[in-house]
Amino acid sequence: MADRTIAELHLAALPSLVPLVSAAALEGARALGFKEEDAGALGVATEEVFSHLALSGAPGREVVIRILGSRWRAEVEIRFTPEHVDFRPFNLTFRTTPDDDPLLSRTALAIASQVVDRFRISRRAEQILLSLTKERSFPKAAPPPPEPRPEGPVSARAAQPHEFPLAAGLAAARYPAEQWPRAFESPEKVAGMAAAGDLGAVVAADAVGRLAGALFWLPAGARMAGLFGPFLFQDPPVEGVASLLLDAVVGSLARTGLEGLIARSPTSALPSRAMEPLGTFEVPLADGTARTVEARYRQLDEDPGGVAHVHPSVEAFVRDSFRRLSFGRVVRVVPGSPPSGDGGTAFATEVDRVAGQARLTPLWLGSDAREMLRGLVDALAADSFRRPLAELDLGEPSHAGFAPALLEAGFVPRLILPWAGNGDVLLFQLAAETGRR
Amino acid sequence: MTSFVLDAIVPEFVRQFKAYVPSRPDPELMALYGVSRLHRLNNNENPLGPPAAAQEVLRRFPPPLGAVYPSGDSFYLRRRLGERLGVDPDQILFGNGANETIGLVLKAFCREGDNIVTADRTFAVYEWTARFSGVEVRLVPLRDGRFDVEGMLARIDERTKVVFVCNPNNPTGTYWDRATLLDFLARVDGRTIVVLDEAYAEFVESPDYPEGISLLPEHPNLVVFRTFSKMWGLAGLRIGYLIGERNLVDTVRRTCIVYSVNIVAQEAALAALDDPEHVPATRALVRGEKAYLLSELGAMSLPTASGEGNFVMVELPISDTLAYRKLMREGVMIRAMTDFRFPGWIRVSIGCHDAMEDFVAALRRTLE
Repeated sequence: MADRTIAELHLAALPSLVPLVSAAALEGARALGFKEEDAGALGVATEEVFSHLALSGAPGREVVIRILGSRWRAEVEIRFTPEHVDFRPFNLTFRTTPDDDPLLSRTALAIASQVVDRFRISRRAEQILLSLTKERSFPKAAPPPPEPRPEGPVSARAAQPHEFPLAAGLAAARYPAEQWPRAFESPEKVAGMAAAGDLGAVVAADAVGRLAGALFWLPAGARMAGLFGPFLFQDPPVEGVASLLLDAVVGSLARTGLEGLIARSPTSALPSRAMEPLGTFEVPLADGTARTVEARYRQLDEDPGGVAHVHPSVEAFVRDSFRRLSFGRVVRVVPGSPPSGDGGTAFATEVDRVAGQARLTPLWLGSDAREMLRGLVDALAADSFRRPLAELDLGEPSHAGFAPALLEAGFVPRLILPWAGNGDVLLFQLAAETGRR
Repeated sequence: MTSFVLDAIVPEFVRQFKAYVPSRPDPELMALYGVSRLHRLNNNENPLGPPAAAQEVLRRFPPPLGAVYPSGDSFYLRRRLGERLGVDPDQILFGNGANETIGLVLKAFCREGDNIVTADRTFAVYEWTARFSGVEVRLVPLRDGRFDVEGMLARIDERTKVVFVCNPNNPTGTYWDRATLLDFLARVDGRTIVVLDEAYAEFVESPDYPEGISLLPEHPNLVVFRTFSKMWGLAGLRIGYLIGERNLVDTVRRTCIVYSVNIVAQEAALAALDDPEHVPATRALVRGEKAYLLSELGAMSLPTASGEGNFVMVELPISDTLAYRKLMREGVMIRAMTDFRFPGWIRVSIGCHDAMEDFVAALRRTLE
């Protein structure tokens, strides 16, 4: 990703510095070309988070704030090390006071998460990273006219800059909304994402550039890319185009360091045996309903084998998945009982309003894991995230102990994402009946 | 604790590079995949092992010599090889496998802003070594499965320092015949170094295959790579070499840290050269087992690509990385070819007959 750093601040988490931090975020977004409303939202979210740190999260601690972005997105990264190993203040539901004053009923982090498009908390050792991302608003465009049928041989190649918005528009016009990123409605946004290296595509075209199809990818974490498509632009489609596109994407992403490609909601054109099925989960649709999709996976490297740390409560699911997928893994069973007398459970929450999805990952396990999860599930449901996902990194022994609390809160294991974390990631999703509470 | 920001001192081209992850040792892999034996058909090793004379060297190596530095420039081995090939020993430079000589050539001739030219689907180490050295890599698509003469020439410019040609090509087994190679060298016309990687040359039996060494007198910009890892069965000892015009090799030698080739490797390679039976025996085995394998794969209606060398490529109806895992569960290790930019293909090394039979049976079960 070709993000540009606009500013980096090293300062103490003090209430008196809140206006400075808020202004930096606001002006940083403006410097990236954001209009007032979008820039203001990022300023407000940053103000909420920094106030939270100054008052309760890490008062007085050194904080590093980086403002970065590109033509289509602005991000504020906030890094710091809490004074004590207590990650509770970073639960989305954390309150500084237990009173029920309506003005205090929403927490600072919840407010921040609601005014940006993507809110992420992660932890590396003792350090916390809070990330606030606002996408720039672009006008939606009318669908492009149908693409003329290619003549002569068609070959797959990397999309030219001008072909990104065209192919995205054709895809959005021809396929259900859950099969393409919502950015596809805005040609300027697509162009910005492509220019920043945040969106990749191959197209199948004839000698004069008439498009027969396209396949897109977006980064999905540090080691995976998410595939969208294959999108075919004629009826009937030009024969063999989907395979051409997939081979071209795999060939171009080989030797790039990515471990694999995942298609969460592929089109029916995806060649059935080209990507292996991992399992199913629900994706939210724009109309508030959900659709079951089968995630498909394509590994790019020979699998090196590894170790999976699992709690007994999910051992059978994990072993069965590894056997079905032919993954060579040593399964280490970790009881993972929470430390007695420690009430400090914390989950990082990533809220993606563009995709309509929320995702929980463990930060710290305490004896209050079940209560904490129930509170988080209720808060997310109140914010319209009824089928949140939760991920346990099987490469992290400390994650194993969260499984019982997740199961008790109504989450069920859905599938394994190979190498999506330090090791494989076990994906849970809140069951439908629980989500309707 | 000292403050240290590692990223601040790491060059961008190193930061961006993904380290190669070698496969785990066999016992680890067998435990991971739950198998009691493993056929290694992934690295194009010689199933017959080293020549008998080299095996004798390994058996009789005096342990006290483990404390003594080897010849720093493989003195006796260069002298013997020079006699055998009809070249001055100073035209030969040994490395810790031919892979080391790739790095030596790049270090000798390339600096930031320079580029190399090679094919997109060939041995990956040229590309990797250049990238993590900060050298631009210009990849030319294969044409009909072969290195593309016109495409390669079109990408050469004044900053091109090295052109790598894998002949025969790993993994397609295709090669440039003598006329094609001479035409290419004539049109390069001394503008850049041309490396001819002949790692699999000893397997080639076609009469029109050009041994690069014979062209050195007329082409002082030509460098030939050879290895003891394939035909000679000494992959575990890591020994390979380059041959070129004397001044060119002297230049490359300046970038070489001596003693990188160990004493056992030098002694074993020296003995290997004098074994008259090893090459014919290996060729016969490869010829016979390749024919068997191609026949079986044909019976399964699987497309194959097979030229010179001790390997065959097979196109599968499932992803190659999935096939790798499924075959590992069957105790057979092949090479998934996505990393060679052949998605959906695997490469199988030619092994002894029992290994070939086991592979065929495992592949049938995998594709059921």
